[in-house]
Amino acid sequence: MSEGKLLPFRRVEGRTKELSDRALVSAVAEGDQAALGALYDRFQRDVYRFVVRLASSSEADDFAQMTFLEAYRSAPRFRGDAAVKTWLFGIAANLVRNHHRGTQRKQRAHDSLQTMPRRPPTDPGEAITREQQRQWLARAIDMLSPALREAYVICVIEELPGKEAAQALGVREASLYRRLTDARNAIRAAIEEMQS
Amino acid sequence: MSAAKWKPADDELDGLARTLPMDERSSDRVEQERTSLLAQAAATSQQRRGSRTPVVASAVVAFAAAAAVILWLVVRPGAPTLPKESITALGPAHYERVAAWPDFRVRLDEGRIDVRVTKLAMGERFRVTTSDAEVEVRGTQFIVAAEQGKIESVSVGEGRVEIRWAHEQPIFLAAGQSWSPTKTAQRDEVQLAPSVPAHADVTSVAPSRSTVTSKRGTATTIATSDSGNTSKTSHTKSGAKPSTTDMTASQTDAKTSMTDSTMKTVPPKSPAIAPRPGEADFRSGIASLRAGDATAAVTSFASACKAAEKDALGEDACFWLGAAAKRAGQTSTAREALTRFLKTYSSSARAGEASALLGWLLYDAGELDAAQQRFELAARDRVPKVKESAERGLEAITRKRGTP
Repeated sequence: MSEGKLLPFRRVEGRTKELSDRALVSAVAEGDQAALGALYDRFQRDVYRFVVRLASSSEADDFAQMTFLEAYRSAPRFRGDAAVKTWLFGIAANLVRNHHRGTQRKQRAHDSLQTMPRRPPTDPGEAITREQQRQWLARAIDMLSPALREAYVICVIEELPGKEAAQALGVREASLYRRLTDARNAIRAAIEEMQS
Repeated sequence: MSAAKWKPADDELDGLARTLPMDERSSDRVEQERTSLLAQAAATSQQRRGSRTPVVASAVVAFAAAAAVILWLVVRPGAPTLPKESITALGPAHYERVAAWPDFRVRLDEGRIDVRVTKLAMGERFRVTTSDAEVEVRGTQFIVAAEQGKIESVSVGEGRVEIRWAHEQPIFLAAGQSWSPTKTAQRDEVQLAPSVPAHADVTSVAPSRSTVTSKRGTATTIATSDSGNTSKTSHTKSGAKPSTTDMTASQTDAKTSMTDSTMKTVPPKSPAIAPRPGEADFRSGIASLRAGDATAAVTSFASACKAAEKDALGEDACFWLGAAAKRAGQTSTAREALTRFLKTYSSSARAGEASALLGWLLYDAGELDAAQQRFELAARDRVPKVKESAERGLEAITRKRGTP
């Protein structure tokens, strides 16, 4: 016999799967927990992928769950002027931002910089492998300030259009693009530092 | 010789970023999280009217600074005309615009905001809501404070404000007055005398569990003209000695009409502002109602209603004309005034109240069909006492029709 496992209170079947994203949020706004389950099923992967880039993987689970809980609480106030995914990303970004405010994030980036393995000496003519580049890039993104990091993740990795991304992060589109440029420059500077 | 450094261009960088691996969660982990989410949701109430989102202090401070700069930009000499509304955070505050014109709404969760609204056109509304109250204004400047979504206080700098708090009757505040909800029941200085049968009257301008005080020039004084041309913004520390020479007649009225010992009156700080047409009559009408002289109030409100018919003040004056006439027993005047009010100000926040009053007048006159129509309209009002009055009216009609 397998070990005890938590079972969902209500699996979502039938009509909720046919609902549009916004109709689903409307149902959630009415307190429909089946709809909340469906909303979670539909967006949990996107939300997790988004928060895991903004926070550590150990925190990402909590942030993902908190995002949906907050979405449940604030669904009655969802006006439908943004895509549901954008709305959820906005909630997630706010949660991470509030949680990581202050020095905690900076300390993490600092620690990351201190413990980062330098590139081992290479033989002349050795090509830098793609895998190595990915490692540098991942670390460089991790070192970004929260504001630059969320801008880079939402625009580049999640590929949200500028207007929606700005809406989700609660900033002006121009500010978002400025942050995006700053983020790319900071990433390049960090990668260069790693190679020296 | 060493290997060439990797200096990726934007496209290469972004393309590579999209290929970064991500640890997928196991289906068991996802299922557990889902279950936990649904369990927590079952124990969580939804935010239907307010937010409990924590205040983000630094963002708010930055926003307040930005708001101050914007405010400075719009009030400096030669600046273009002011927008219809201006909202400034006074220190850390968390608020959100939830609806645009013509029914502008701001939800205040935390902190204090200074609100300035120019004279509104017909059909336009401006409201500040918290989870437990709603403050509606018409061409005014006022400060609202909230804590954890609950209203803390309202201070009116200029114009008039109507507060709908909890399930209490609406509260009417004039310039220089402030209000805060209190837990201890106490007499309210602006409570109208209940001079008519309870079943027939739903009008009142103050709740029983709140404090209204006149308080000018104390903690914060912000002056603005009624046309929206802000003349000066100043923050005065408590205890500073304000000037007494620039108080307007209307402000004097507001001050002197408050006669209770709980009143805290401090001479005003704001510059002189000319009273609007009908304002003196309106205040006189309110004072007469307070004194229990409904007949005198009818005369004053009739003048105010006529003088300010196209102004927001007229909306209040015309309503109170009908209400005062009903109290004075001037049935035909009351019917005419309330019918006219409902026709002229059909979208007024007081339409339900006026309908209920008119419904009772029609009921007393035996015009049951017309009364029923009015009560049905009033029964949809959001003010509980208006709804209750209308429902009692509908029941009375049913009983009367059932009587042979």
